[in-house]
Formats: sequence, C-alpha cells, structure tokens
Amino acid sequence: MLQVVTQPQVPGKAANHNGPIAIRVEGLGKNFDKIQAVQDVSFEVEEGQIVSLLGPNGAGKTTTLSMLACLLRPDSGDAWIMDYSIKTEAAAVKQAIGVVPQEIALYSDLSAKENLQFWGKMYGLRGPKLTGRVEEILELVGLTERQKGPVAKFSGGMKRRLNIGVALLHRPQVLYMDEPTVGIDPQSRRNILDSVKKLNREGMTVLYTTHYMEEAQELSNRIIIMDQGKVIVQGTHQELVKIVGEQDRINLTVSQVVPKEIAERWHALEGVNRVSLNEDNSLTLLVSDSNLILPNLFEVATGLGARITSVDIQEPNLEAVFLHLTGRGLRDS
Amino acid sequence: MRIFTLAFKDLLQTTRDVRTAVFVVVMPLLFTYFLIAVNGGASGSSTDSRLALAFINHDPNGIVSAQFFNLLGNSEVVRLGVPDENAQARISEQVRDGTYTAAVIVPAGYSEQLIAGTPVKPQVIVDQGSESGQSALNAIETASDRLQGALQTARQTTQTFEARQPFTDATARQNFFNEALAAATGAWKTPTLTVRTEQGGTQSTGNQVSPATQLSPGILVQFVVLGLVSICVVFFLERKTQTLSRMLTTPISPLGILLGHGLAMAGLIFFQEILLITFGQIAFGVDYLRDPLAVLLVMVALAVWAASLGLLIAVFARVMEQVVMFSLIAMFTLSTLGGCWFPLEITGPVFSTIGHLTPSAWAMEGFQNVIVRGQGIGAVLLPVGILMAYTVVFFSIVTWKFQRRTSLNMA
Ligand SMILES: Nc1ncnc2c1ncn2[C@@H]1O[C@H](COP(=O)(O)OP(=O)(O)OP(=O)(O)O)[C@@H](O)[C@H]1O
Ligand SMILES: [Mg+2]
Repeated sequence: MLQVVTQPQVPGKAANHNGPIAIRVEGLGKNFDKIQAVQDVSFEVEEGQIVSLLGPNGAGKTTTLSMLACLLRPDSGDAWIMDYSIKTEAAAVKQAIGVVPQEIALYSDLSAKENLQFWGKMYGLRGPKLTGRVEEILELVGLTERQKGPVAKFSGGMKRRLNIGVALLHRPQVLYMDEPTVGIDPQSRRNILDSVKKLNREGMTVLYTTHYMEEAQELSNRIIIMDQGKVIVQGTHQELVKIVGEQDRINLTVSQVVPKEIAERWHALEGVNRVSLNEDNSLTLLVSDSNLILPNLFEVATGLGARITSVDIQEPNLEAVFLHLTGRGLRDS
Repeated sequence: MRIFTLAFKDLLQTTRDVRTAVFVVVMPLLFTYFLIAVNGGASGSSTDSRLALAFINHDPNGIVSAQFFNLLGNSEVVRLGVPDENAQARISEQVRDGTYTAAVIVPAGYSEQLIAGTPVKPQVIVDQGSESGQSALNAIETASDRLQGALQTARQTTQTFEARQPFTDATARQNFFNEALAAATGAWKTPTLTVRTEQGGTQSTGNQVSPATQLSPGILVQFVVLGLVSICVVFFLERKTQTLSRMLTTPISPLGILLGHGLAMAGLIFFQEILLITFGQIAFGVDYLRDPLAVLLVMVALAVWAASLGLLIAVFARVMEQVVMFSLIAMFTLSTLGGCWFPLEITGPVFSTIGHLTPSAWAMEGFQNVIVRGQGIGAVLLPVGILMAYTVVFFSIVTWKFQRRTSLNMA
C-alpha cells in the first residue's frame, strides 16, 4: 500500500537559506473577473539560483511573472526583487530584472540589430556602451551573421534567441523566462537551455517557467509546481520525487476499447493509485509495484476485449509527482 | 529621451511600410493635382484659361437673372466676374482693353418681364471679330437658350399643376414657379465648385475661394487622417504583440509611451503638411506664404490634433481591420462635415453649424483665414485654440483607455 513519504512543504518556508534572497514572494494573488488566476503564491529564490515554475496551461505562471515584473498589480500580497517592492519601488525593480516574455516581443519589420539598439536605448544605454553591448548580445545569441535582415524572416528558434537576447541588454541581476522554448526545434532548444545555464554560472538569478518537466529537472536548483493558480508543492527535484515514494509510473497505450472505461476498471484494482487519461488517449498509472500489477492490468484488458499495444514503465519523476498530487497529467487540460 | 527613441523607432518602422508612401505622399499629391486641375485650376488666373466675362445685373433680386448667372457660371468657357460700380461705368473700355472678353448687362425688370412672357434680352458687349469674343458669345447664347428652355418648362409645369389644383394665392403660385425654374435650370448643370463659390464673390478681385484655395488645404486636412494609418498600425501591433508589455518592463512610463507614439504621429503629419503646402504654393499659387507664422501655427496645431486622433484609433481598435476602418470613417466624416470639399458658408446654417463642431472645420478655417481672407496671426488663434482643446479631450480619453488596458490586461 502506498504511503506518502514527504508531505508537500508549506509554501514560504521552503528554502533553507544559504545565500541572500533575490526574489521573495508573499501571498501573491490576482483575479480576472471571476477567474482566480493566482492565489496566495509564496516562494523565495536565492541569488544565483535557477528556480522553475512548473505547471500546465492556465496554472498562473505568466500571471505570477507579470506581477513580479510590475506589469500587473497584485490584488493581494507583495513581492521583493533584490529587496525592492514590486508595489512601491517598481522603477528599481524594472532596472534589476530582465524579462523574456512568453510570446515573441520583437518588431518583425526591424532587423535584429535595430531591435537590440532600440531596446538598449529604452533600457538607458547610449553611445559606445550601447554599440558594444549590442555586438556582445548578437554574439551571445549567435545572430551576428544575421543582424541585418528583418526579424520577420527569422526561423522560430532565431526569434526565440533574439527574444532572450533583448532581455539581457542591460545586464539584469534577475532574469524571468516565460516558457522560452515553446514551439522550436530540438537543436534551438538545446542551445537555449545551455545559454541559461551559462548565464546562471556567471551569477544570474533565473526564474524560469515551463510545462516541460524535463527542462525543470535539468535546469533548476528548485522547482515550484503550480496548478490552478496555487503552488501545490515546492522543493528540489529530489525532494519532490520523494513525495511519490516508491511508486512506479506506467504509460500504456490501448486499442479496441473506450479508454475511459478501461481507466475506471484499472483504477478499481488494488495497488493502482492514480490513473490519468492523456490527450493522445494513452493512459498513465501510478502503481505501488509494477511487477505485481502488470498481469492484473492485462487480465482486465482481456476481459474487456481490449489490446494493450505498448507499455512503458518509468522511474518516479515530476510528471508522477503532479499526477500524484492532482490526479491529472501535466500536459492534459 | 526615451520618448524620442520611441518616436524615432516608430518612424523607422513607418518608412518600411509601403502604405506610408502611398497615403502620406502619393495619394494626397495626386488628389490635390487632379482635383484642382479638373475644377479649373489655380487661385491666380495663370492656369485658368477660361474667358473673363463681366456680369452686370440691374435686376438684382430677380429669380430669372439669378438662374442666368448660375447657368453662365456653369460654363467651362467663361469665368464670371462681377465688376464693382466704378468698373461698371467703364465696362466697354474694359472689354476693349481685354480685362474682360465680354460683358453681359441684365436690364432692370428682366425677370418680371420674362415670367410675364415678354421677350427681353440682356445686353452683350463683345468684340465679335475676335475668336475669344465669338467663344464668349456662344457661351452666353447657350446659357440664354437653356434659360429659355427652363422658363418654358417652369411655366408649363406651373400651368399643369394649377389646372389640377388652383393656388391659394399669388405668392404660392410665385413660389411654385420659382422652384420649378430652379429645378429646370438645375437640370442643365452638373454642379461644380466654381459656380457656387463664385456666387459668393461679389468683387472682381481677390479674397475669393477658388478651387485651389479650397482644395489645397481641404485635401491636406482630409489626408491627415489617412496619413496616420501606417503609424497607427505600428502602435496597434505593439499593443497586440508583447512588445508593449516588454516596453512596460523598461523604465518608460505608460504616459511616456503615449507621448512617444504621439510625437511620431505629429512628426509624420507635419512632414505631410509641409509637402502639400509646398506643392499648393508652387504648383497652384495658393498663398500660404502670405503669413508664414500663422500658417505654421495652424500646421502644428493640426499635426498635434491629428496625433491625438491617431492614438485614439490605435488604442480603441480591437483588430487590425478596425484601424483602417476607423481611419476611413474619421476621414470621410471629418472632411465632409469639416468643409474640406466645399466651403461651409455655402451649405446653409444647419450643416454649417454641425460642420463647425468638427476639428477639421477649424483647421480649414485657420488655413483659409490666411490664404483666402488674407488675415494674419490673430485670425488663426481661435482655430488653433479649438484644435488644441480637441487634442486635450482626445488625449484624455486615450490616456484613460490606455491606462485601463495596461493595468488590467496587456492587450
Ligand atoms: N488578462 C487576462 N484576462 C482574463 N483572464 C486571464 C488573463 N490572463 C490570464 N488569465 C487567466 O488566468 C489563468 C492563468 O493564466 P496564465 O496565463 O497565468 O497561465 P500560464 O500558467 O501562464 O499558462 P500557459 O502555460 O498557457 O502560458 C488562466 O485561466 C487564464 O485564462
Ligand atoms: Mg503563460
């Protein structure tokens, strides 16, 4: 029988402080009409760390970042970036942060260089300092060769890279990145993940949002899992996977049956703790012991006249944590 | 400083949009050129090749003589002038020395007699030996024939009507006849600006609204809105993409953002104004340089007001098509009501009053006070003041809407 080894940690008391705090969030909340987009969100990010906000669509990641970037006024709570309050010291906060928005925020009719020059000036850079910085960024994002043509002609990956580059112009202490790898090829994605790590090695604090658990796992010192506007759990990757304990995660594809029907039957089995239906009609199960349960799963399937066409047993991961805590998969909605 | 950076960026983007060249430069220049040319040219006589015809009316309140004047004024061959009393005395001399190609003298009681059915002809002074004299005479005869036809029609109509239903009194009959005559004369003419405007002019020289002094500023004021389209699109797209939210994460304030875009718009429109005014001055002799400072004041006020209108459009549009649609609606309403196509003085009190509620009417007033009425800087202060008042109102609405949009929702 399953037992939860670690209770989700109480938000706000998460970190055992080693260094100074770059981002401190306390009880942040935001409503849009009747939607409670963000509710009572609290966490801390130490200087020099990468922390990920992991959550499915609509979890409230962008809304949280928008408040931390002084773009949205919180309805409740407050946050401090490098000790400046987002409510009362917005100007100082803005100087300290760089923001990589979820959508591409560039002028597509201008060139990469013109975009960088414009945004550099908006951040207060002038003259040779600006010119030098623009060249550095072009180099950093690998667009030196393509600095002249209009951004409209760029590939998705190139736009994403420039989108990041713009946020780095004024050498911010804290960088917010909102799903910076959405919709691009694996190579560009690799490139971006590596540059995030590189920036972090040079001392930058990064708050990163994603709904890819692999990214959160690879990059972050700490992970904050959000769902429906709330922080459901936070901790290091190790701490989080401990929550699901010794459970195994099994991915199954079935045919010749209504997936919902078989899901219900499986869920009734002893030793099956969670069943979730994915968008592609595959099923994900959290089970106490996959060796013991697999024969039973096949038996139920046979009884329903269904065929199991693939089985994939996985180590506990963040996907399993999310499933365990919410009963849903990270990517279904 | 950031405001200038933003304005410069907008203008850079605007130059990359083909619409800019079309709406800011090509279309207004072509419109100015063709419309003025079609309507008989410049304010000076240099490009007006029509023959000068003096119209001396000794039947000033007559209904028929008025229609005769209309028909003549409609001609493409002659250009009517009304000599003052001094000049009337020397009219034969003036025809001889070429000031006028011909003169028409309408005798007293002309209308009354014609209505009564007594044949009566206006006196014509002309050198029949010259080719232009003949042309003028032809034009006069054509108008005269048409007038006879119209009279005939009006008389017939009145009698037919009377046969079915007698008039209550003589005045009613007279009114009916007058209307019928006006309608019959009207059928001859395709209305043009020339006729109507020169009706207002009672002197032979100066201070008249000509096609050029009407259309040069008129098209300028009208195209101010269309010239804004491409730059409105820049601001609109900024709102719709996340460039605006990115901008709000930089130290510029929302007000600064509006001022930056507004500055770019005003700059672009000012450029367009310089272009059109130079063109009007050089190609058609519209005398903007009569008082450069006064004209400059109106130009600046117009550009600044236009910018506030551009911001309004860009902030309220929800989809791209609306930017163009709002601009077109604004352009047509403001130019028609604002008297860009014809002077508001000729439109009657209701239209004119409504027209004067539009900022475009005041821009026209400002320009025409200088180029038509020859007034100075004092005469543009009121129009400029009203344009600035509109700017304040528009900009307040823009600020309110923009603050709402930026604080609640980035789109
Ligand atoms: N401007 C807005 N007006 C109304 N509702 C909004 C607005 N912005 C976000 N929401 C709602 O708030 C909730 C949280 O949205 P948010 O964009 O923060 O989620 P997210 O975690 O960033 O999702 P995604 O992964 O899709 O980007 C959603 O239900 C969304 O529909
Ligand atoms: Mg988001």
